[in-house]
Order: sequence, then C-alpha cells, then structure tokens
Amino acid sequence: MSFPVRAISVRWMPIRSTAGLLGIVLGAAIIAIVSLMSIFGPDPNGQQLSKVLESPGGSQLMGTDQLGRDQFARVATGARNSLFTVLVVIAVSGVGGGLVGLFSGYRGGTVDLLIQRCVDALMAMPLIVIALAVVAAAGASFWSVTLAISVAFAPLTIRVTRSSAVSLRNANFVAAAHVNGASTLRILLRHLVPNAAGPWAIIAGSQAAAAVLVEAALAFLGAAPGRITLGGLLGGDAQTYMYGASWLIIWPGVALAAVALAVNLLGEWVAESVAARSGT
Amino acid sequence: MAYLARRLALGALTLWLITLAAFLLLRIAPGDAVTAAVARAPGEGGLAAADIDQLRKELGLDRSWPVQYFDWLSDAARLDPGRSLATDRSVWDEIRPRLAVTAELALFALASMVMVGLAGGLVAARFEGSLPDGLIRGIAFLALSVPTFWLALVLVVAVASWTGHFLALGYEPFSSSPGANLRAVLPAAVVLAIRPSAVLLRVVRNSTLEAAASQYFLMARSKGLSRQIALAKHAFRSAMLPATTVIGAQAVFMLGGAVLIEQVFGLPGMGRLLVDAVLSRDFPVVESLVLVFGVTAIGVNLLVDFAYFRLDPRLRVGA
Repeated sequence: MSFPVRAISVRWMPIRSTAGLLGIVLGAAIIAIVSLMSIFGPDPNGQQLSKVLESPGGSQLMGTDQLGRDQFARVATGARNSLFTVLVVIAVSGVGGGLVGLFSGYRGGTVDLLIQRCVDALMAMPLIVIALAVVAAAGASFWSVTLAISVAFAPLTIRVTRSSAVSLRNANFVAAAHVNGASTLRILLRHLVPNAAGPWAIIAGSQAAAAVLVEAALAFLGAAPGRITLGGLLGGDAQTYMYGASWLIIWPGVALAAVALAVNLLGEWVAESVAARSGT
Repeated sequence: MAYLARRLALGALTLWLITLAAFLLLRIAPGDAVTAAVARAPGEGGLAAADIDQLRKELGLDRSWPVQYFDWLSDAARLDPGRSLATDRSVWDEIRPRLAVTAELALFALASMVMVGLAGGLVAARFEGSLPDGLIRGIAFLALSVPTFWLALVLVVAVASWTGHFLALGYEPFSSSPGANLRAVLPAAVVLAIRPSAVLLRVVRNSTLEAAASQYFLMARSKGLSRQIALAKHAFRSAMLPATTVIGAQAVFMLGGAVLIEQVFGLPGMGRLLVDAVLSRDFPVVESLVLVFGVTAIGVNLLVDFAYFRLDPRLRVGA
C-alpha cells in the first residue's frame, strides 16, 4: 500500500535561519521588557498632574502624556494587550477556520459549495471593512475587535486547509480509516489535521503578523475603548497633542513595528521549517 | 467567453451574499438600530417605550426579516437606502460627495503602486544578488513591517513641525481649488501606496527571476539578446500575470487602507464616514457603505479576470 501524500509536521528546526534567530531574539526582548514593566514599572493609569507632557528623558524614558501618565508603562501595557489579541485571533480564527476548511474539503458536495461561496464573498471585501462591520454589530469594545479580526481572517485559513483536505481526501490512509469504521470527526482530527499541519502553520504565522497591524488599526480608529492598546495610544487624545509632543506617537509606533516585525520573522521561520521538513 | 460569463455569474452571486451578510449582521446584533440610537444619547433622557415602538415602525424593524430584506434591497437598488440615524439626511446624500474623494485617493495610490512596484521589481531582478537588489528588498521588507497609518501620522507631524503646514487640514474639492486638492490628496495617496508597492515589487521580482530560469529565456539569450533586454521583453512579460493578480488584490486592500489614511489626513471620504457610522452604530449608513465597498471590490475583481483573459492566450484557446 502506498501513501501518496507524505505526512509533514511542524518540528523545531535547529535555528539556522536568520529569520528565526532574529525573531526569537526580538520576541524575547519584547516579552522581557513587557514583563519587567508590568511587574516593576509605574502604573500605566497613574496620573501625575505635576508632570504633564514631559519629553522623554530622566525618570520617564518615553515621556508622559497629557495627564502625566508614564508613556513607557502605557506602551508596554499596550504591547501586552496587542500580543494577547494575536493569540486569541490565532486560536479562534486559525483553529476554528482551519477545522471548518478541513471539514468543507473532506465532505465536499453542497456543504463545501455553500461554505466556499461564503468564503468568496468575505474574501472579496476589504478586510478592515468586514472587521468594522462586525464592530458596528457587536459595539465598540476590546472583545468585539478580537472577534472582528477573527471573522475577517478566517476565510483565508479555510481556503488553505480546504485545499489540503481536498488533496488528502482520496489518500489510501483516509480510505483505510474509513473502512475501519472511523467517524468523520475522528478522520478529521486524527488523519487530516496532522497531514494538513504544514500549510496551516504557514498561514497562521503570516496571519499573526497581519493581526498585529489590523488590531492596531481598529484600535486607532477608536473601536477598542477602555483598554490600553498600541493602536489606541496613537488615536484619541494623542491626535490633539501629537504636534507638540511627538513622543506620544513615536514610541507606540516603534513598539508596534517591533512587535509586528518579531511576529513576522517568527512566521517566516515557521514557513522555512515547514519547507525544510517537506523537502521543497 | 464561457470563462468571462462564469466570472460574471460568480461576481453576481458574491454580491448577493454580501447584501445578505450586511443585512443579517446588523439584525443579529445585540439590540437593533433604535436601541443603539437611544444608547448613543444618554444625556438627553431616554425615549419612552411608545416612542421606541414608533421609531421601530418608521424604520420598518417591526416586520419579518424576509420582508425587511427585500424592501431594503429594492431601496438600495434605487439608490434610496433610507435615512442616517445620526444626521437624519438621506444615506445616499451622505455617501455621494464622499465617493469622489475616496476614488481620487485610490486612483493616485494605484498609479503610484503600479509604477513603483513594476519598476522596482524589474530593477531588483536585473541586479539579483547584488547591492541594488538587497537594498530594494530590504526597504520592501521594512515597508511590510511598519504600519502604514503610523507612517502617515509621523509624516503629518514631521511636516507640521518642519514647515508649519498642516497636511490634515487642507482638503478642498478639486472643482473649487485643484492645487489645494492635490496638496491634500497626493501625500495621502503616496503613503497609502507604500505597502501595496512593496507586495507588488516582491512578486514582480520573484516571477521575473522564475521566468528567467525557463527554457524560452535561455532561447532568447542564445539568440544573442542581452540579459537586460531578455529580462525586460520576455521574463517581465510573463511576470505580468501574477502581477495582475496582486494589483487587483492590493487595489481591494487599498480601499480598506483608505479608511485609515482618510482618518489621518482628514480627507472627507467614504472611509471616514464608515468609521463615524460604525462608532455611532448608524446602521443604515454602515449597511449602505458595506454595499458600496462590496460593489467596488467585486468590480475590481472582475476587471482583473478580464485582464487575465486579455493577457493569457491559454484562457482564450482553452475555453
């Protein structure tokens, strides 16, 4: 019996790739700074009205805002919240969308057709418009932003895992499992998931980086009030004070770029590892 | 032609699904347009239950969903999609003046992207592995990591502090003052084009190099064409197919990017209207704008399909 499709799985590759090394160093640095600031840093909401809009230097490394709040502490908190959003998005959109795609491709027929036409419709729209429509429906909040990004990102994941499932559907080991009496759910989880893991991981990696930027964009537009986020720090009151206090927008942006870059590099590393494992 | 007919049918189906999604999304939302409108104005005293029922009736929210959907659809088709909850003006009157602003922004950005992406990609391919290639690819990678709206913010602040000119304040319609209009729109268009240009550039470079490894390229070289000419005339041409796909996808992306850029540069376009409508939960405006964005995006995708048909002789022969 032959297996036409080779099993590929994601394994840690010895860090030979530049992208992986840079990503890990940058990511570790970000996590270290964020953790240290959360534990030892000043309260990001602590107002000091005697120290309003102070430029960076001295005890305030990144200056203070119009209420005398420490900008460094706010940036660190914002980065933490952004990373948290990315994790939730990848969990919901990556895992959920991936399973839907596998099911759609494995099942085929009308179900597949229906799901794929809906995916077409979602993919035809600009991502941020979909996300904003979801925010309009759910109301502006941190959680609805997370939900909105997950919804907007799901279609691409569905597409990718579906095409894996379509090519795996007729593999002998799937037929064997079916003959053995395995349920659809079991075939999906035990046979399709491990074999579709490669492309699935690649798409999750590239979407993680995009999620950082989309989350920041939505928060910047005011869709995530009541929570410190990097995008939120750039919007709102900063828009009024930025002309005189450029540090209010410089530092959140630098942090945003650093987080996006780190996630991007790690995603690239995942892609390289998968390519190396599957021998292409 | 069967290919084009199929694409057209798919486009129509997609549009229908988008109308359905836009309609359902805001109906399954917790609370309807009226409760959202009431919640928006806490200081002005709540409406009495009777008033809320009255308002619901006016908006037609008391009828069954299918009836509402068909009414809404036929109103939208007649460009009369109801009134804005925030301003009480006709939704179409709100949208119409903003179409031109976003269209101008998107067209300038599209033109910049095509020029930079194609030229940059070709130059990088020509100098593969040497300094210009490395430089161009490095800049493209950075451009992909830095959020565009932040670059826009920094530009606005930098220009304001160096020259005293506020980029975000000067919008004028083209008809009343072409100079002021271009001064406001062009910087925004250039910033909007940065990210799509980087994406296009990478694809053009890689596809050109891929084609340069092919047999027909070798053939062209062995006829005596220099590498430059063979790249420009043969490899670059076949890179046009993936480039067209990317241009289409990035054009749709720029529609979304315009939402942010309009906010930063203070341009009164559709994107800003969408953000305002979303934050104030002005459902009629949100629904209509989703439709406008959807129609435009589907139109762009159809144009790409058409361009493919023109560019790729295999599609015409195979069909």
